[in-house]
Parts: sequence; C-alpha cells; structure tokens
Amino acid sequence: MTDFIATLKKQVLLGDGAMGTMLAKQGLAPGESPELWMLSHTLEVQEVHLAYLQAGAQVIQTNTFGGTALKLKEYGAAHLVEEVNKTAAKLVREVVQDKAFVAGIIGPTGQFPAPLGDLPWTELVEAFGQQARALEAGGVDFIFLETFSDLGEIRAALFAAKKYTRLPVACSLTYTKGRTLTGASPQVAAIVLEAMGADCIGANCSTGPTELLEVMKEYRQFTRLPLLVEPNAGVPVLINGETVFKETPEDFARFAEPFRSLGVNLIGACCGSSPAHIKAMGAALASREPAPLPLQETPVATRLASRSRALSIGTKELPVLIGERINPTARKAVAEALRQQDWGFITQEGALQLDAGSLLLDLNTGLAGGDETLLLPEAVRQLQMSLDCPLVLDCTNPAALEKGLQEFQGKALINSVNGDEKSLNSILPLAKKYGAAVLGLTLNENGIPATAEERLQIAKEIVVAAESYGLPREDVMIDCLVLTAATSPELVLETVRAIDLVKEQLGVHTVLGLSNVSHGLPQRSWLNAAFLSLAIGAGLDAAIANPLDDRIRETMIAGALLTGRDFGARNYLEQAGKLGSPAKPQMIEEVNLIDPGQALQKAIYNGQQEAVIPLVKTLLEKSDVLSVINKGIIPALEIMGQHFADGKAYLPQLMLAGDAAKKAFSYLKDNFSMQTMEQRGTIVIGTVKGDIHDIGKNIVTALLENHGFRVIDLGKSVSAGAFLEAARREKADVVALSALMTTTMVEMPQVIKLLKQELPEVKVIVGGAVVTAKYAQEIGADAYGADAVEAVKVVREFTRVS
Amino acid sequence: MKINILNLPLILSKEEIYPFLNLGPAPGSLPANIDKLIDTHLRSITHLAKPQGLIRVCSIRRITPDRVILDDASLVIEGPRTTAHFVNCEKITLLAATLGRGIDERLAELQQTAGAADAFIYNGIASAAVEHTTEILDAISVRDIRRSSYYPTARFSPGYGDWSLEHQQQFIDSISGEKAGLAVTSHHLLQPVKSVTAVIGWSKVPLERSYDQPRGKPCQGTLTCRDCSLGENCLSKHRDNHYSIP
Repeated sequence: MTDFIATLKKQVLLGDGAMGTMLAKQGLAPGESPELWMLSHTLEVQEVHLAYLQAGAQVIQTNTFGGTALKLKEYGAAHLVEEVNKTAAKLVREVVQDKAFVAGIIGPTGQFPAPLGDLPWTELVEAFGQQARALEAGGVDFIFLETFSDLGEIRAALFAAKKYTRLPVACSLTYTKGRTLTGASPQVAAIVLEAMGADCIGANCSTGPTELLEVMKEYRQFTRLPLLVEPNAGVPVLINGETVFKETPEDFARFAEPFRSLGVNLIGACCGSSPAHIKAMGAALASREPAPLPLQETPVATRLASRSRALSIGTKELPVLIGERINPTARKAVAEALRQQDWGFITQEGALQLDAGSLLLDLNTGLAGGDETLLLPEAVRQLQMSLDCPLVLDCTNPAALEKGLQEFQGKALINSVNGDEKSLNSILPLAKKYGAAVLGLTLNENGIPATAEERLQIAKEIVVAAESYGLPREDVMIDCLVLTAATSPELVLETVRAIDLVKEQLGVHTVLGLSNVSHGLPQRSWLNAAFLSLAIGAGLDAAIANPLDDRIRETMIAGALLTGRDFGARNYLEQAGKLGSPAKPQMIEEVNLIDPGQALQKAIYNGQQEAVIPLVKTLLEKSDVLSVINKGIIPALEIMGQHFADGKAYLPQLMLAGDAAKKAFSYLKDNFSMQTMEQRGTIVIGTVKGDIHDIGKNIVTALLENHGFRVIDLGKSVSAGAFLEAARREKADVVALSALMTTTMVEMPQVIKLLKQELPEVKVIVGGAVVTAKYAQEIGADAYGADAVEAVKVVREFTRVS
Repeated sequence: MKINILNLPLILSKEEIYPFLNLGPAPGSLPANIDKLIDTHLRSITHLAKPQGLIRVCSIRRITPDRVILDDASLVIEGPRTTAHFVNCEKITLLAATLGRGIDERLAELQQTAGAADAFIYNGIASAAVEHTTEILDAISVRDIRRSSYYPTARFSPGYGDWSLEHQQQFIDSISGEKAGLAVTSHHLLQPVKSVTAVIGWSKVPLERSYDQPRGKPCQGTLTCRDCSLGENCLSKHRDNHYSIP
C-alpha cells in the first residue's frame, strides 16, 4: 500500500463506522472485552471489517480500542498486549489486503495522567508505546489515536507512537459544546498536537455531525494538517419499547459534502453507525478531490497554548506582556517560596500578573542550592492546575527542562537557547520532541556582540539550526538582548536596531527581556517604559517585564495603538475604560445640579454604592431623614421590585439595588436616632433546623432590611425553640422560615405549631426552593413567598395591618 | 475496591453560569455592573476552587422491588420509584464531586462582609462550578459505560425522588469521600456544601426518558419529572416539554 498521509493529501478517503454495536450483533456480550473476545472470534470480527470494506470504506480500523496493558489489565489480560494488537492488525490486513489502509486504533486508558489523576507520564508513554509497537509489527499503515477526551493523555499517546514507531499518527479527540471534557478547544488541540508532530488531526464520537462541523471549522483555522472526522450517528433511544437510532444513514450522509468542502480528507463514522451509513456517505460525496487549503498570511504567527487557552504572537497581533515575577534570582520572596515549596505563593504571583494583563508567565525555578529537575516540573504542575495561560519555561538545564516540558500539557515557549553550539544541540531537540517554541538569545560563547549586525548573524544561526531540527520558523522567537544603560548607554539603540533587522531579514518574531536596561539605576520603571516604547516602535512582539508596573502596561497599550497593531483602537479604548480613573466625582457634581432625590433613586436603582452616601448627605441639607427614605430610597426599591416582577430586571440587579439602599439606611442609622427609623416592624428570619443552605434566606433578609424593616437574622439550622424565643424577645411582627430541601422543609410545621401555640398574634411566612403555596397552606403558614420580592410584599401587608 | 480520584480543571463559561443566577426572563444583555461582578467572582472561584472527583464502579448484588443492593458497598439505593430506574442494570457507577472547603469558607466570609448581591453571585457561580465538575465525571462515566456496550441511566442523587437523603453517609463511606474531604452533617447534608453525589446505572437496554436534556440548568438526578422534588416550582423553560415527549 502507498503512503497513507501522501494519499490523504491528494484524495478524500472514506473511513469505517462503529465496531462495538456490530460486534454485539455478532454475539459480544455487554461487559466483555471486545479485544479478548476477538481472539476466539476472528471470523466474526473479519465479517465486520469486510462489511465496511464492501460499503466503500478505504480506511479500516483494528479492533484494539482497549488494547493497552492498562485497559486489558481490567480483564486480567495485561500480558496479552502483543497478541491482541498483532492479531487485530493481521485480521484487518487479511480482509483488505491492498484495497484499503489499516488504521491501528489506540483508545484512552480510562485513567488520567497527572495532574488530573495520578498516572505518571512515563508509565502512560510506556503503555501506549507497547501497543503502538505491536500494531506496527502487525502491519498497520498508521496509528490512529481516537476518542481521547484529555489533551494531556493524547499528548502522551502521540509522543509514545512517535517515539516507538516510524508510522504516521492521526489524533482524534471528542468534544462536547466545543470543548473536550477537560477543557481543550479545537484551536488548542490543533496547536499542541501539530507542534508535537501529529500527521493528521480531527474529532470523533462527540454528539453528532452538526456539532463536529463547527469543530472542523475551528481546526481548519489553526492548522494546515489533513483533517479527519468520525461523528456519532446518535445514541439509541427507546420509543414505545423499540430501540431506535434517531439519525438515518441518509440524514447522516448529508454532512459528507460539507465536511469535504471544509477540507476534511478522512470521513467516517462512530457510535451508532453501520455499513449503511458509510455507503450513504460515499454516495453523497460529490467528489474525492480535497478542498484547497485557505491562503496563509505571512509571517505566520507564533502560536502557544495552555491546556485550554491559545495565544498568537505576531506582527498583526497586539504586543504581548510576559510576566517576569516568578524568578528567584530577581525576587527574594519567590526564592523563599520555592525553598519552602509554598506553591500557594507561586500561583498567587502568577494570578496577580495575569489579572494585571500579562498573557504569558515566565517560570524560573533556578534556585541557588535547589534541584531544578524537581522544582520545575512541580511548578508546572501547580501553575497549570490553577492558572489558564501558556508558560514560558525559563531554564537552560536540559534535564530539568525536559521534565518541565513533559508536565506541561500545552505548547510552551522555551527560554532560552543561544548561538553556542552546545546550547543549540541540547535545547532544540527538546523543543521538537515536546512540541515547544524556542526563544533564541543573540549571544554565543563570546558573549553579546556590540553591533546589531553581529546580533542578526547569531539570530540567523539559531533560526537555521532550529529549522535543521525540524522546527518551523514561526516557532523560533529572538531576543536581541539589552545591556544596562548604567554601563553601556550607547548600546541601547543597537538593540532597537537589531529588532528591526531581525524582523525584516529573518521574518521571525521578537521578544525582549526588558528590565536589564535599568539594572543598577534608580527609578527603573522610567527607563523600562521608555525603552519598551522604543522597542515597540521597532516592531517588538512581546516583552518580558513586570505587569504590575502601571507604566509598562500603559506603554504596551499605547504603543500598540501608535504602531498600527490595535485595529480600530479597540484594545486601547477597552483598557482605557478599565484602567482610567473612575468618573465618580464628576457624576456627583452633575447630579447636584439636578434633583438629588431623583439622583438618589437613580443611584440606588443602578446599584451605584459609591454614589449613595454623598447624595444622601446632599439631600439631608434640604430635607429630613423620613423624606430621604420615602422620596429617595423606597421609591427606587419599589420601581426595581416592580421591574423585576415584570421581567424587566434581573435578580442580581435587584440585589445590587438592595445593597445600595442598605448603604443609605446604615448611614442614616449611624447618624440619626433609631426612633425615626424603626417604624416598619420587626421580622425574625432563619433557615429551619437541619438546613444549611441560606442564600435564599439572605436575599430576603437583605431586601427586608432595604425596605427599612428591623430584621433579626437567626442564621441557618435554627430550632423551633430558638425561633420562639427570638420572636418573643424581639417582639416580632412576623417570623419568616426558609428551607431548600424536601428533607428539611418537614421541620416547618413543627415551628409553626409552636409559634401558633405560644404567640398566636405573630404571622408566619414560609419560602424556599422546594416549598410551594399548597404546602404553605397545608402546614398552616399565614403566607407563602414565591420569591424575595413577593416575601417583602407580604411582610409589608402584615405590618400595615398590625 | 478501586476508587478513581481526579483533580479536575475548572473552565467555566458565563453561559454555564447564567442559569444558576436565577436571571429569570428579563430581556437583553446583563448590565455592566452585574457583568463585572460575575467576572470578578468567577476569577476568584477559578483560583480558589480545588475541584475533585471520585468515581467507583460497583456490581449490583440484588434488586428487589424497593431497593438496589450493591456488592461490597454499604450504599443502598432505596425507594420503589427510584429502584425502578435501575431494574435493567448490572452495575452502578458512584460519583462524588466537590470544589473543596475554600469556596464554602469564602462564601461565608462574603455573607458577613460584602453585599447580598456579591454573596448571591458568588454562590451561583460556585453552584455552576460544582455542576460543571459533576458533568465532567458524568461524561467520563458515560463514556466507559457506552464503551462497555451498556446504556447509561440518567444521573440520580440521594434526596431526589423517593431515595432518602439519609443514605448520604453510606454514599460517602462507599466512595471513601474523606479522600476528597467530604463529610455529612447530622441532617445528611454534604460538607463542603458545594459538593454533589450521584449514581449512574449500567443498563442492558436503552432507556426511556420523559424529557429531553434541557438547555440551561440541567435537571438533576431524575429521569422523569414526576420524580423531581422541584415539582411545580421548576423554573425550566423546558418543563412543559418534559411531559410532552413520549
């Protein structure tokens, strides 16, 4: 048979369909291992292969989805990996001979690699490698990793297949709502798997062809590799006692042509499908001509990714800020945290930098006296578990770097390699092997050359070396290096000139470690920001700097706009809105001129807490406390309540308005005598015994307080006795009971009984997720509050009467 | 007894959160101040949560008209209506999800110090987060069930239908809940509060559902509307559809 990938690039191939349901028809019982069953039912398995071949499939899959030792172990057959996989490959080959390609199927192990589970990378790689080798020995044309739902696991399988076989590898993930189970989007998968050396990527199983069409569109935007798709033909449902598959082969086949025109070159089917589906798809394909690849803009952006977030760095993108703060050499607190293995501190440092606008984090664990081969992988594990950003592994120790790269389940940037042969030959192979981009420093064994031209020369050597190791040019970035202005002020502009030269002559993207320019000088922020400005002017694409420095952030934002990289000034305007000083004083001045009563209503309605107290003060200059309440606060709450009831406002808006009103009330309470305030009645409220859910009760409490009621909140899991005691002590007008669970609402009648016995004049209102009006009536409550607004309405009725 | 313990990522979209904020039928997009609060609390929850999951598969020893008894586990699925969902099952997957104690503590703190809107939004996002975590465990389990040529039942939790919440302690014992910091109060409620326990059955035959999966907040732990404790309080727009699908 000819080369699979070469054929796939020239021709759209038809895959096969579901294996499990077909084998079940042949007699495989639920719970049995299809792989072990195959060993004693070779003819039955071959019948399935033959049926698909006859339906027109040009790629037939081995029956080895559960063929790793980890999976076979569940059936006590871990020792049969070789036999199962070789046999499976041979069975297909005998059927198809040279009429179709044989896909050596590898499925997920059902266990999870760290950090999700506790399966170490090396164990996972060995298990997949063992199966891949057996499939190769059995004569498959390529390895097909399918139905993976975790990027970390498929990454290990791809690594193993590449390491242990010479076969091309196709990678296929399953998606729900556009993401894998553990959060990778098609974009992220495309970036990570292509960098790791996948030959073909795609999606299978998932929910069905409609959703996978969207997934394929996204793949096509981010990779030029051949694509594959094998959607589900739906899950069976029982209708009137009959097992029915909702999608017919004809329904399904309608998607064949849309997939082809998107550039999907291997089209098959997954669960619920049959040879009839494959035949229908074959017939529906108008042509076997692959769709042309979309045009590619140059220079191609450098793409990096975390497990779930992708990032493009390039001339047409906004320049990117790389957070530099996780570095023990520069910061004592980080050194101490690394020494103590205080990972909470390290992740907090990362979170701060991301919040401040950096999109990538530089991670340096080179602690004096520390073991980087242990610290770097652990830091990667910790950071990628709680932060969602690509990492820059700042490490020149190849052993530590390799461990860090194994752990990182995205596409990292390695910081750094340099023009020294030793560095090139130890770091570049790692970048290729683990699918990372590299940052090349323009220095070599002789140090940093003075002129821009000499630095360009080193950059050129790095790019050539990287390409010779198989890295695409866009995965090489260059740092033209800056010396401190304290000693070499005349050389600073050489760096700026070098950026320009490198970009123009090599077409690669540039990064700059910024802070060195100000080393040994006071007011470093001034120099860093001014230098950043010059570098962005020369076309800098990313800066390693301190994102907590406002000057740096502002320079990045403004620089992007001034160099034409911020289309329509969108980013500038957005950031200016976020970072610019709030227009608070102006707003208050403005409202002072109009009617402050109206203004207070508006501020409360809009939940503008910071505006409330100044407005109340202004109002009090002209009127008394009661009119502030009755003309400013209460009308706003009433309007909001009405809007909420009419479906014109959302519940959180109602609550935010309530919080603003509460602010006004507390100010009045703190500054004026209680007598003028307490006139609306007292409510005792709590969640009944056994129930620890109190968010609903808290909403009602807040709203009642906002309406000027005196509310005694007894908290959660309150006994009947405690309700009675509080109602008596506080001279309550109303007692409000809340319960969220069916199991705890049965406590309500006990409380009501006790209250009615002891304090018959006190009204009782009940509410909570599972409580209904009918139930309220049954248990003798005086009222039922379907939601917080209604509860307030009812309480107002009660207190008006009393 | 093999129990899989997983540390799960939390990647929550706002669309997944909205149904948990009881936004109701109000039209248009959210006002900017609410949106900003959601962003702030989502970020804080993403950093603070330690989502973990436990999965255990048990064989069924015996099914009587009102209970399912498992092999080598103290948990009993009890109640004639609940049991009916599992009559064709041979195994049961037990799963537990939690966000860890930090979220509960922070929520309690917010209730003391911040406005009610903050606590409400924080609570809603945390509920969406634990639901999201449960969904991942559900999907992992369903994948294994389908791949073994069985059909998964819907997810079913103690406290729904006629399966009493009193079984919560047995549930936590059977899945070694302490490994993920799970405990049960004297009133059978899970601690931390932002935790979920549920079972999924391995059926030999496909199953009938009385409703399609709703788009927003999923129906939790029930195959049919008649077994749902929300009853007439159900806020799902799809509620009416539940009854109309055969």
